[in-house]
Amino acid sequence: MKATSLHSHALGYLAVSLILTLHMHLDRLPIWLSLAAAGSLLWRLGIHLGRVASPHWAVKGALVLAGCTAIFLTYGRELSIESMVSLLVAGCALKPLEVDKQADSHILIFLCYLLIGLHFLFEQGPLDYLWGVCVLLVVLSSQIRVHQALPTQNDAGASNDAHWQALSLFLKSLPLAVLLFFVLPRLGPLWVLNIPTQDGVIGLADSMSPGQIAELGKSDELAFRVRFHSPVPAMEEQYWRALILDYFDGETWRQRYRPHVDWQPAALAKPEAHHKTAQYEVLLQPHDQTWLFSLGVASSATPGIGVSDDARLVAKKAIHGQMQYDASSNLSAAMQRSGLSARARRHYLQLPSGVNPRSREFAQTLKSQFPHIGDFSRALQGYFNGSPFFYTLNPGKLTSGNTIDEFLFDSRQGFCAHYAGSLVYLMRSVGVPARVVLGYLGMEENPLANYYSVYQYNAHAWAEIWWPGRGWVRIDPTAWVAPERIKQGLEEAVQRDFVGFSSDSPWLNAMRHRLNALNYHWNDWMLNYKGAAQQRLMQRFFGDRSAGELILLVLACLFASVAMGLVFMFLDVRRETLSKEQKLLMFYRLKLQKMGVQLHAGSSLAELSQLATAANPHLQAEIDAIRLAFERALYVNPDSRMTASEVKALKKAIKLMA
Amino acid sequence: MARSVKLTQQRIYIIPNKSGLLFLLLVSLLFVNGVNYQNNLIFSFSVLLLSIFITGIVVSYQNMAGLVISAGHGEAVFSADTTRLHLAIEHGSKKSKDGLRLGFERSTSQLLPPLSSKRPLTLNFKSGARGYLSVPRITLYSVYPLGLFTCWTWIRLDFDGVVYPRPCYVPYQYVGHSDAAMDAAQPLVHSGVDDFRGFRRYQAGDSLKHVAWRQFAKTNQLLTKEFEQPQAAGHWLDWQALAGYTNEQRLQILCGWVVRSHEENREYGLVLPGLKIALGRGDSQRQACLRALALHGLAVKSQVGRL
Repeated sequence: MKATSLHSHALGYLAVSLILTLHMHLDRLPIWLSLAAAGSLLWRLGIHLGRVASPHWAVKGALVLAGCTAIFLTYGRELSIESMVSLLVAGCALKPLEVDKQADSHILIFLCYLLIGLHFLFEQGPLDYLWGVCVLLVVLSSQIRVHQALPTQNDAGASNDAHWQALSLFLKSLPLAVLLFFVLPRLGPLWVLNIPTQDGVIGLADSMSPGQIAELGKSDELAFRVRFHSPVPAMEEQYWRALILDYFDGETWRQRYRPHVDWQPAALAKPEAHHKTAQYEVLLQPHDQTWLFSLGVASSATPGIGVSDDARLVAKKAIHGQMQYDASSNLSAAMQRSGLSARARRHYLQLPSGVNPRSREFAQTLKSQFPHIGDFSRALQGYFNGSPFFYTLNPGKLTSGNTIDEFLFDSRQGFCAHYAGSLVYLMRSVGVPARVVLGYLGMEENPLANYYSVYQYNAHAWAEIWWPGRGWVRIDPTAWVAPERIKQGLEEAVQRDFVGFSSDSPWLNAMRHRLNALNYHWNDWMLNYKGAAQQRLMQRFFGDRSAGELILLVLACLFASVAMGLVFMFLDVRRETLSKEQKLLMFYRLKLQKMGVQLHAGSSLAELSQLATAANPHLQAEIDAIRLAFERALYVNPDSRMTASEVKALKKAIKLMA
Repeated sequence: MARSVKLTQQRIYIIPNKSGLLFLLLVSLLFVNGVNYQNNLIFSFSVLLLSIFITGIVVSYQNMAGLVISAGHGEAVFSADTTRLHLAIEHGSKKSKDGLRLGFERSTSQLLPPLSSKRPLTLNFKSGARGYLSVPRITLYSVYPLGLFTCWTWIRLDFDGVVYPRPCYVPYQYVGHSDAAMDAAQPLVHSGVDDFRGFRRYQAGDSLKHVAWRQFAKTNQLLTKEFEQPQAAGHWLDWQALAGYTNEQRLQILCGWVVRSHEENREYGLVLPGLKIALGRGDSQRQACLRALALHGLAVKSQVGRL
């Protein structure tokens, strides 16, 4: 194939596609890479204008080497999606320097497509997708523009606009794409390839040090959505359990105890009459972790989800994509009432030695006054209530090695993590097994779509203590200090700490709800259309059939649609319209034949007239007039075509011949 | 062989090219990404690209279907010279056809500007043996719109036109001829001591040897030098004079004589077995003689089906 150089129009389109594509990834790229891309584009512009020379191959090689080294230095040896995207972007940014021929432009265009696709690893909102499709259209236009010839000067109107061509191509391919999307079976991951993202997902971590949750408390990112199939539990029951931390090193709480997980969990034991239960469906934002969120004592029928012996839901694999699961909970059931194993007991009583002596002494003194656990915890509540504790997202930093002592007796300013940690410390000091629970408290209703959202600022920590004869009992010391945190949610409790999402304006609130509802339906339909959802839809269309039959049906549909496309394509060629003159001529021939003139299939207009005159000498004047009219219209020049009234008059004249 | 060809599905071939295969690789890469990350958006994006690929086949086909290519004439040249073939390409659809390339080989094809209805074209062609112009198949191809497929067709067209024998210049030989005027004939090759008479405006067909190049350089005007010609009586270029040569060689030599005689503005006639062209001079005489030489001994081409 002949190597065709690109014309400046095509280069313009390519530059726009490149800029838009790189812009999508801008905020996850190192700054030097964005600058390098801009420089490369400017350089290419210079080459195009003839100001700068095209780089020597050695210069190009050096640039490639420099790019790879810089990426290695930025991201290190570890493979992550960001580093791979950066590598692609670097390739994409350097490519313009050597794009000169059609074939080179293909590489650039394909890289753009790839980068648009990879963008959806990071962003999955409906608007992100819409924007991605828009950029796709631009790239498609440039792909078409590259292959269009420049029109000649006197034929400037002949060119099809590349962007309209692209739009038409896109719209034509949309039905097939939609069909494929719905019917193509979703495979499981082909191999385990979990290249982690480097910027990390905002959310709970499997450790808790003071301040960590406070950071979450300022984030209004979505954690998960939930739809209830049963009455919605009261605010005091909306404790979404996710993680249990048992190990304290004096500063940070961690997860050391690995509970046994039952991967084929039995359904919940039948609740007793006074028990409160809840059935719900959780739509999880990817958090790259295995823990899931549930209320009370939970069980789930969704495959790949197990129940740990501390009554939490756990996923078999880390959640890197949108995920949905069903769960049912018993909010009043007791946990491990029968007793703790020796191993568990050891874990739940662990304390670092030699720190926080004042707290330990305080707890032991109090315990000697109130030996019963119930009395003891009430006494602790009295202490928290009676002292000037202050609930805030911005507590000062605790500076000494005895953080619990400092918090309980000196600063007394803290967030839920401080309260929960201190309570567990105090409980353990007197031999009561206790643990910190991390999760979310509260949720926000979206009235438009009938679901609830839980945001990162709903993150919360509380305590569970093991009460002989009652099992694990939830105690939330934050509620003692700042009951409004539990009753009304975080926003009210620490209003002064927030500037980000004050929601006074009802209009803004409505907008936010609407956008959230859109997001929710998007997640529900687009992101989670796989597996069971797909099967349900297939079955609604094709009835209840076996997998084999379904596949056959789907294949049949595909073939049918392709065949229809082919028929359409050939029809398009056959569908050639006759001009009005040609139609009129046909009409004339028919009329002559009706009058008894013997015509040949291919006889010309002159022959036609001759034969007609021979058969009907009395009509000679009319026949000549008609012949002249046709000749003038058909053969003189393109501008002498008949007007509508002329056609009408001629038709009438032909009709009147007899 | 036909005068014009309409492209339909029977003639158009489409096959993905290297870029097309690369594109499929890209689609599968995205597909694997979508599957592995269980990411429906990437999955749908890969499916969308695949669908665009498939639609591209249809659009690529439609861009070419319905084109009518009709042959005009080829300019008459001597054998092995390059002639210009005139042809027209047209279509009846509202959308203009884009990215078409026309040529004998893909590597030498020319890219046509967007085609809105009808366009006359010329194509350079190195002519073959003398006789009726015979043109090998022409390739019309395009990678429009996406460059992922090559869509092509081969067209064999019947062009009007003749190819003259390649002139071969040997001294003129005379054989006796019944015509009495022939006796006065002189050799064509003469000493060249003609008297210069003056300039006249260049006319098509004037010998380039007689163009006043110096004047052209000065005034940018093509002038022909005119000489006092010895008022040569007509002479006959005779097949019989070349007894020792093969038929083709005879034709080539006769052709050379015709060319020389015309250049020197002599009056000449041509005698071939079974054909005699009367004495005359000028472009029409030259054309008639060369055509007779080109078609000597060939069956008359059927003219049926011409408009």
